Amino acid sequence: MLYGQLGEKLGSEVDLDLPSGTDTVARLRTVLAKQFPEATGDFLQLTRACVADMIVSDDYPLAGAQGVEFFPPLSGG
Amino acid sequence: MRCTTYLAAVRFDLSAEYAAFQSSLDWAGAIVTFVGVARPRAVAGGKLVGLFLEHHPRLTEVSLRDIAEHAGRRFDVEAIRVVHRRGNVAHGEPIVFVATAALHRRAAFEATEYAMDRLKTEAVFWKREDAVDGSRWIEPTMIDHLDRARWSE
Repeated sequence: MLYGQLGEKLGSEVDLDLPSGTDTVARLRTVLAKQFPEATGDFLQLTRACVADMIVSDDYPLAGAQGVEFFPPLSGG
Repeated sequence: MRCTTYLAAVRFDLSAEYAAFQSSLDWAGAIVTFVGVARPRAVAGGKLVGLFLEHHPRLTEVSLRDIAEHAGRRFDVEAIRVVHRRGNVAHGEPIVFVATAALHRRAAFEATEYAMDRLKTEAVFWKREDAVDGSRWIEPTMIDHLDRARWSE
């Protein structure tokens, strides 16, 4: 799932067949940046990744993950 | 410490929120409230039609609760109430309501400020300004981050 400006660019959900070896959030970011050049900065720099409702680091393993959400900067209040 | 938070899908009644908060109090001698309102002008200056607050189906409410509970515990308040809008908010409508009650005023002021500084940068929302001349996603400013940082331990 994608939110905010990123969701507006690409749609709220993208479903991809990932190349083999896409086993961490960092590698997923690289794949997505290549697949969606208009959102390279979003995937490589501006977003936080979230798996199973927890913010995760770039070395988080994707094995078993049902999906990854990307959060642009938050802005409440 | 009594902590009430909710995510409002439609415009909420400020008087009713205050009344509900005040009626729940037992020992507080000070109540502080803050209301954030949608401005008539966009950051870029154009006339604003309204704001759109996108939320996360689960984590937005978790973040409101987490921020309110931390504020209440940190400043020893009797109660805190946080109401935050989601969806389309017309200018002039309240976006957020924070009320805190404590024995003395300082704790209530500080708890309210702390809660607001965290809500600006950590509540799980994505905010878009819809102006007559276009839309723009809003991110926390440097000042918002500095305001948040002053509470770091």
